[in-house]
Amino acid sequence: MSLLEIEGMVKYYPAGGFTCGRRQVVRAVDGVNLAVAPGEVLGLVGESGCGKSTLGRLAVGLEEPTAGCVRFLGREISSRSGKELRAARRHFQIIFQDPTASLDPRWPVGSLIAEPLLNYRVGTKADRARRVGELMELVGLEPLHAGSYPHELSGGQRQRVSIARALALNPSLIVCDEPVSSLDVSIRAQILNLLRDLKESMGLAYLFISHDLAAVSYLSDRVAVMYLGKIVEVIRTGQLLKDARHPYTRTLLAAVPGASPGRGLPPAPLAGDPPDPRNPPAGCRFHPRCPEAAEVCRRKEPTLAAIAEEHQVACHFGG
Amino acid sequence: MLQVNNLTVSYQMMGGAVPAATGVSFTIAPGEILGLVGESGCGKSTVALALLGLLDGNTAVNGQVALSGRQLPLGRAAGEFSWREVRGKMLAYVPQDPLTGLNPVLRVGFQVGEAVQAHRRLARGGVRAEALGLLKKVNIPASERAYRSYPHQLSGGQRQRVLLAMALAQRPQVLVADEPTTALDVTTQAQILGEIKRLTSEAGSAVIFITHDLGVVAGLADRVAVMYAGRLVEIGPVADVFAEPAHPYTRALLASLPRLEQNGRLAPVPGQPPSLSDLPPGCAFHLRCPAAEIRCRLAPPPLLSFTQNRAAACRRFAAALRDKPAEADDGARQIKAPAREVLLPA
Repeated sequence: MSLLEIEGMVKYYPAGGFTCGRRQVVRAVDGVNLAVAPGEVLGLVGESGCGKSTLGRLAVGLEEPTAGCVRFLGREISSRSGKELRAARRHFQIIFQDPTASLDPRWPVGSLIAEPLLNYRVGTKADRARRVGELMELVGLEPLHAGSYPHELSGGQRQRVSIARALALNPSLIVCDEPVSSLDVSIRAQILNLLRDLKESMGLAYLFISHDLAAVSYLSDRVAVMYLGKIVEVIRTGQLLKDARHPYTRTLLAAVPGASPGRGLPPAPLAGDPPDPRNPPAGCRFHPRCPEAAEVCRRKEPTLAAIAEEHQVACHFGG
Repeated sequence: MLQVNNLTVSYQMMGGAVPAATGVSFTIAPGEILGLVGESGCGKSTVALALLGLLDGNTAVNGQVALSGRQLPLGRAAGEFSWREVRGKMLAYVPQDPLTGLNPVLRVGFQVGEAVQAHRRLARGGVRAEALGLLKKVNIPASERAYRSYPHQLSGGQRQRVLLAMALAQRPQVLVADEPTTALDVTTQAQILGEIKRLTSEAGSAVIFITHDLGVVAGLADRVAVMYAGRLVEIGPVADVFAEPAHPYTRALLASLPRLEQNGRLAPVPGQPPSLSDLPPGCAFHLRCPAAEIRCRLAPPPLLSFTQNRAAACRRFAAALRDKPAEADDGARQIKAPAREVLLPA
């Protein structure tokens, strides 16, 4: 059974404008189906504004879906509220991009890491203190940092605190929303390795959200590519370079700087900017920028269809 | 063409002077693109701001900067008047954040027009024609409409194109671009890098491209200069440095970069970059360096050149590479242009 299932997920935000007397909406997420198996890392990539962070927040119940549902271990969580949601939440956690914003500046590190334990009344005070010590060791923080405040730590250390908080209740799934984007190259590699080690030692599953395809492919078992509120391709990471079929995925791959030469992909940079999510193009949403667009792409929207085992593409010419 | 010699900048802080850049020296030839890389706080932006005289009053700037044989003013001593001669015509600047680089209450066309008129008197129609021409040249879609827009009405990539148009309005000899694509998506980044490369080669401008992204440097630059804790630790042609990095820090940076075709585990640099106000004695990298020796703790190593166009601030590895028997193709490799990556549009 899948750990996390997202089905028919739709999230519209009011955009504050009107067209023909009707309220405009931003279609942040527009009909997404995804599943994460236990112990699996699903990478979610896309450009800014494609809806990937919204999808991550929907997955852990931080946003109300407009339509669709989220199931965790087969039980629906998106319709639950209060006590039930709270009880379910200890099994899935989220790490945000900016640890400076997500950690309370007035709390010392020890209390920040103990907070989830306190929220769920886990153990005695001494148990919690011991668990905080374990967690800090696990994420590579020195014991002396327990008394430090977030501003006294570096960006990488602050992100370690966020990770320790997320791990405190032994969750089975962590949604990582751009966890390394604000970090420097040398520190980024440390945190990526830490996430990889934790996944292996604790059997964690991640929904790993990032705009950085190289970082995503380093951690993920499968990669889902999102464009303008829709998933356009889901593929195993090992097959990404060789078998990616959607023109948008191939464009993203070609635009990643710094990959070594000779990887066999033609340069295909896109013209133009991503379209306005208030007013997505008819037919395939990618067709105005697609180098291979044909007549059918302007009329008919492609659906995400399986073309091989664990490989789905939403393109008329993908099969 | 541009010669920077022993540039040293320190910020006066409450606890004393903080050395943000120490003894930075490099040269750049006409039409060359130099990538200046390093992590946050390594002093790369400080170098850019010092070159353009944009540092504020609590800084002490020393050293010499010469452009086409002419000594440039440094620090506040120069005064605003002589800076006006330099900026725009000789040196131009593209900042990281296009929203703060543009005035939000003035139309884009007006702002580009200002850059056009900075060093010339033109009739009003002439200004408009030239500003529009510049917007067309940087490939802004619907340039007439962009001309009448306010900055917030444009996307991030388009704003960055506007800034590029303004910077290139006077055909500067050197363009200093400070992380111009860091805030952009990868596909937009690839477009902007392509424009920078095309336009500067058309205008014959040299570029100092500041970034933390080694991948961008690999695709764009001819030479790369790596900074760590305020000092230049390595400089050389991109292809050579990437193929055989001399400084342990450069090596560690390259090893910690996730790559698409990578299978093995990343090797991150252990530890944290040191605080500039509390630098360790000797080589600033020795605490994180896997190959540190006793001499590394004693005095900071100078930038040692070990081939005609490469230098590294590491006594051990610069010497090792210098003494290595020369390869047969060594001369040829130095002359030919570095291998380009495929990410740039033709």
